[in-house]
Amino acid sequence: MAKRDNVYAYAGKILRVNLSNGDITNEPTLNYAEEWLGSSGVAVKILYDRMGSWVTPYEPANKIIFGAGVLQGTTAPGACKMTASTLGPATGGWATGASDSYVGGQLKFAGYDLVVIEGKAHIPVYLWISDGRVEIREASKLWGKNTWQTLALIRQELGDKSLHAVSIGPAGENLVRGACIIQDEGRAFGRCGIGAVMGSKNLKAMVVKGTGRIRIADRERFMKAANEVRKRIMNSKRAETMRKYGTLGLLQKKQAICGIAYKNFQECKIPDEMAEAILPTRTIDKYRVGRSSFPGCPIGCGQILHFTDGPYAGLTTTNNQWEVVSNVQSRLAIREPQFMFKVNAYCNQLGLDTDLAGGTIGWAMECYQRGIINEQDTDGIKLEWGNAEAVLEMIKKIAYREGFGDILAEGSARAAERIGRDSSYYALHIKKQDLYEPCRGCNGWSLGATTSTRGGGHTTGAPAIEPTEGLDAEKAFLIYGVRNVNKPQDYEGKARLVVETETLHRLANCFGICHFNTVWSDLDFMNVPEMAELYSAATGWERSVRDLKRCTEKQLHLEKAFNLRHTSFDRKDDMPTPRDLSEPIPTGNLAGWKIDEAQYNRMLDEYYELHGWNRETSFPTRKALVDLGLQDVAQDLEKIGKLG
Amino acid sequence: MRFDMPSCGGCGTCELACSFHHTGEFSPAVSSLKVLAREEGQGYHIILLAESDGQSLACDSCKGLDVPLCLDYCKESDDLGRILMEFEEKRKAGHGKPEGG
Repeated sequence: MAKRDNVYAYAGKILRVNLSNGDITNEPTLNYAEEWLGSSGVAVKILYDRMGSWVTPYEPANKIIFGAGVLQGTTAPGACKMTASTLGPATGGWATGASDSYVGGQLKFAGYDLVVIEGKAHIPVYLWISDGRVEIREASKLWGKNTWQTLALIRQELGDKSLHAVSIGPAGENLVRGACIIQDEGRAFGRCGIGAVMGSKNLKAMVVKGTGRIRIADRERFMKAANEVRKRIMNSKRAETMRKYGTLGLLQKKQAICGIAYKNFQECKIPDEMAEAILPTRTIDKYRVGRSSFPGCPIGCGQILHFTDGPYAGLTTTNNQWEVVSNVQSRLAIREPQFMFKVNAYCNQLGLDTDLAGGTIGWAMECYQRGIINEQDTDGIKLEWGNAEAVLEMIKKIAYREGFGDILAEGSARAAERIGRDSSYYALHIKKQDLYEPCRGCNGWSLGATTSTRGGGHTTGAPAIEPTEGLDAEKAFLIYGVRNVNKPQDYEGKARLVVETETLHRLANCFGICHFNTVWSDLDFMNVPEMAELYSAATGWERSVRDLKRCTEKQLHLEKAFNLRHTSFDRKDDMPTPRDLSEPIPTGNLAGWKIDEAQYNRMLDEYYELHGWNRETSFPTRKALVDLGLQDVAQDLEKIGKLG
Repeated sequence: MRFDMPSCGGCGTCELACSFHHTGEFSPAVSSLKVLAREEGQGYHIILLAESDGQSLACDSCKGLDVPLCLDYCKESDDLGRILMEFEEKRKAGHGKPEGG
């Protein structure tokens, strides 16, 4: 592509901040944009190139890279997502998370597409970025505060109540392995322990304000493409439901497909009377006082609740999403309907991943149930199923690494290693990161979640569409190239479904588009060709679907190589948990259904074949890497004996 | 002029759309309307500018368009529509000193 003088869609610069010596520099985004697109795509390239295999997550040499979506700061539908990427403490490998964030748009208007943060500050600091001015400010008054307090104090200090920030809470400060980064007071860069990396750098927050502009190359073409998709999404039935309840309208559907955790996945549905008791839509309708939505999103799924009665009376908070219902409320068998909102708010304040909370406490509660641990281990706290008070108390201990909380803060995989007593079976994790995703009864979803390079996760390749009632199989075939998308218990074709979803997800992450605006959520929503059109019109670079698929395939290979350099992951780490493999679904519509291990392994074989990876090890072959222009990476992997 | 909009979710898409209408670029700083969190309680204030103020440009009612862009993008368009009507009426009647943004 010809060199360009003008920058369209991108802001133009990558900011580099060294917290050890205070150096602040920048380089052109266009050094990376053509090959790696943006956001997490550029981040994996920078991390792979500039971090040696000796670097570990908590040391100064690790980098955190915040990336604004390429289309953030425009009216591209749902383009409100930013990413944060690093070498993460949960898996020890590639770590990335995306969140709706006003900060991403502000970064673009301030002139930056990415911020690369390295080193470690000598004292607690926060970063203040505004229109080309970057300050590393002292944060001793903020350290120890929760994220809500932090935001209020920063706004006060800088004299601007409209400022937006991303920050860590006590969990990040205490290097809890599942600490997260919170945007403003809610929405999280949740997974992989990225918040702990920020804490290890003494970096409390990043505040950004920009008054600049984002230019569009072909304005008419861009607006035509954006409007067509936007109106389709905005006027849809699905958007109407999400506008009222976020993803909390899903409870009955998840019950029907056995896709909800109960007592640490001993069951895959909850008792019917419990489902009725905790119905989230009822709670939202009763306590909703306002809405919360993000720039460019035609859906607007945030609700603001104020509890006037009940055990958490006085609390005002944004709603949680579905994950918290399954992973903290029902996984721990809690019957108080307001609990999900309270625990979500509490984890937001503490800067703690709700998936870590549910996963590690779920393990502990099952161990308690089975007499593997008792009150002497748990500092006298009765970790009985359904004990909401105990859960909240334990979450606090985790955030502050107190007593038993110090063990749980490590995540269930490492906690089980510490405790021993044959407790590992009950630690449900992928690549040592606590697993939220139900992996029985839905094979494409399971394959996508367990092969995820960031360690168990559904936003880098797991298709959500499979169990949708009445799914139009013909339409799904046209989009995904697979005939049986609507048959969740089939194994055939699911490898291809995951590979297509990997492209969709990575493009969405690079462009900053929320997955719920795409065909991942609804077959009538935004698909890859439409993303290609938006990107081409915005940047003035004509990129085909094939081009963009090659970019995302390259990203996946680099993520994989990054993992191979820093961890010992191989095929065994791409498989479901022993519980999911060996136990049938006990009750519900799919009672008796069990993963057929032989068929599952064939599905995984096919997945590796589609990517050109060695079946036995999962390692990329030389051919796969060279075909993508990654010959250097092939040499790197050969040197460490990990070429497939 | 300042208006209350309890149903507003604070997304600010209207600001993006408005700035694009004026300049063909995205820059909320020049938008004729600003979305501000209320001091107390939920919802947002919508500030509409009858006259330009610093970087921010005066509202031109999206002349030439069937529907004002901010309204087209708003998910609570009934409420914003009412506010725009009130703004136009007040503007005709001679109100509309520049508001601090």
